[in-house]
Amino acid sequence: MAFLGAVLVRLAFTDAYLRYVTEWMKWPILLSGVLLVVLAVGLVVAPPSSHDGHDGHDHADDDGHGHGGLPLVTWLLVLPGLVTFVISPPQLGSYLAERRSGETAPVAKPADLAQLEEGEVVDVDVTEFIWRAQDGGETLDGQQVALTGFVSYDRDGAWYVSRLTIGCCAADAMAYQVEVDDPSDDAVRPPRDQWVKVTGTYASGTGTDGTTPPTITAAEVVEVEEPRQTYE
Amino acid sequence: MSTPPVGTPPVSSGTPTRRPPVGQVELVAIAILAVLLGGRWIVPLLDHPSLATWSTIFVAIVVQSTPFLVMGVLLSAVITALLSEKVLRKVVPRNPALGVPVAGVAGIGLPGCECAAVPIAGSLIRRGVAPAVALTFLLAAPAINPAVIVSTAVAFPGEPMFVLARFVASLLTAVAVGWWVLARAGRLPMLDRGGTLDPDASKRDRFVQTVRHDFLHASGFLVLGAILAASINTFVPREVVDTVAGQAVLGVLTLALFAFLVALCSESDAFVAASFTAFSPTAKLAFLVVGPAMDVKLASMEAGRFGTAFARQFVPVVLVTAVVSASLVGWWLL
Repeated sequence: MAFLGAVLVRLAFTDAYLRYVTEWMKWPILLSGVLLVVLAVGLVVAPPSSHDGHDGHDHADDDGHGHGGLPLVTWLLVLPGLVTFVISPPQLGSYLAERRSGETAPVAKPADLAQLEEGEVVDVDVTEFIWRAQDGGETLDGQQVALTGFVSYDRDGAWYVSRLTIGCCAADAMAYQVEVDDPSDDAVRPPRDQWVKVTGTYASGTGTDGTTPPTITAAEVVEVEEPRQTYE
Repeated sequence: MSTPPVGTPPVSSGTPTRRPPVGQVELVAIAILAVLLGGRWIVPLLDHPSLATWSTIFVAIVVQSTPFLVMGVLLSAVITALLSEKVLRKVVPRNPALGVPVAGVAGIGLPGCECAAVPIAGSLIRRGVAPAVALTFLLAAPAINPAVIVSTAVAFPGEPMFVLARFVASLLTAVAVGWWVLARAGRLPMLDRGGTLDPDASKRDRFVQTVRHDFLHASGFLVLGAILAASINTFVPREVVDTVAGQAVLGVLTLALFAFLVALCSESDAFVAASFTAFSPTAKLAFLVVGPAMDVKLASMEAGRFGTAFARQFVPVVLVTAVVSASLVGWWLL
């Protein structure tokens, strides 16, 4: 109990919790972590005086799960903590994106849209780019945009700048991919999971049907640092 | 980590079902130490993207659910230790047949994930609320609370009928199962592992005891469910699910089964449902109705709380009811 509590507190204090859940979960995680530690410490420091009587009850109708009524399964609680410390699970990346590829879901209209300006390079979210393409793509025509995401490949060797979104936790992650078409002679093929910033223009007519990913014709591909929040 | 209560006599009591108090704690402590020390050698063996993905999803489910479970445990402790009989009797109608729909609608009031609902339902039963009423609440709360309704509306823009259909089908499932439990009252092999409460203990002691007890009992099963759900999520490719998208009946059944296995939280499953573009609306509805009512995580927690024999009957009944109700409502509204 204290172990899990401590792990939760640690996750909330570092930014590691962002790999697993959304941003607003920070305080609930921290609070419940502290609470668990306090409860467990209380159990060790000051065992409730009524415990002997309580135990006596338990043995009368013991249903087979042993000491003090604590089921064996409870020990599984240490597992998430162990996994966190030993493997230190990374944020999700290309492995998941590639497995989930082939499905491009219709994107809901993003809450805040980037201000597009003629003749300038504008940073656009990958999901917003896909939404604009599904919207017909007119708003992207002739617009220089920059997309940031990690690199993933498909079976045919085409590569994508990808982002994952999470609604609640990493279990419901969904992949959004934009195919990168780099027509230049020295076209780079960055390694999997490398974070890149792709500057270029929308290839008209791609990704409008809501089932295939749109394509960006790249003018420049730069390797960048992984952002603090990797999910969109 | 918990330690055995101080002052318990050693194994001498001679009850055959009782495990010796030594052992569990020490064994686990040694195991943890071994893994932490040996981590350096173990990690390279585990360095595979699928395993990394599995562990991320596994930890994510646990991290995500724990605050909700703690919230549920706290609420359940409030119900157990602080709510007086009088208040409880006022809130819950005396006639259980009537109490079932009331409990269903009351589910709107608990905006949380499904893990919070299990300890709350348990503590309601402990306080003498009819099991049928408490279980209806357990099924309804995660499915029809405002947070879920809003996220469904966002995930299905311009389809208000879909949101309505989800609400109706989930409520229908909860009430139908509630009445089923009522009809079988007394014949359901329900154990209450809620533990016994010391009647002499002060309110504060009772509160702390309940929180500790409920959390320790529920959390292990939550972890077990998370292990299963993360495995399905990582190792079963989506294409397997997509192959049956064309068939009407098979599509509904597949998405219902998928919802049971992946154990998503009810606030975000609508976005995942929206991504099954190839499936019929009714199949998506089945996904959204089954998920919050029953999934591996919940089944595991309910088996822990109310006994395996109970879960063996309760889980299939909920699944069938949810699928039938989703199909009917989908056929009617969508």
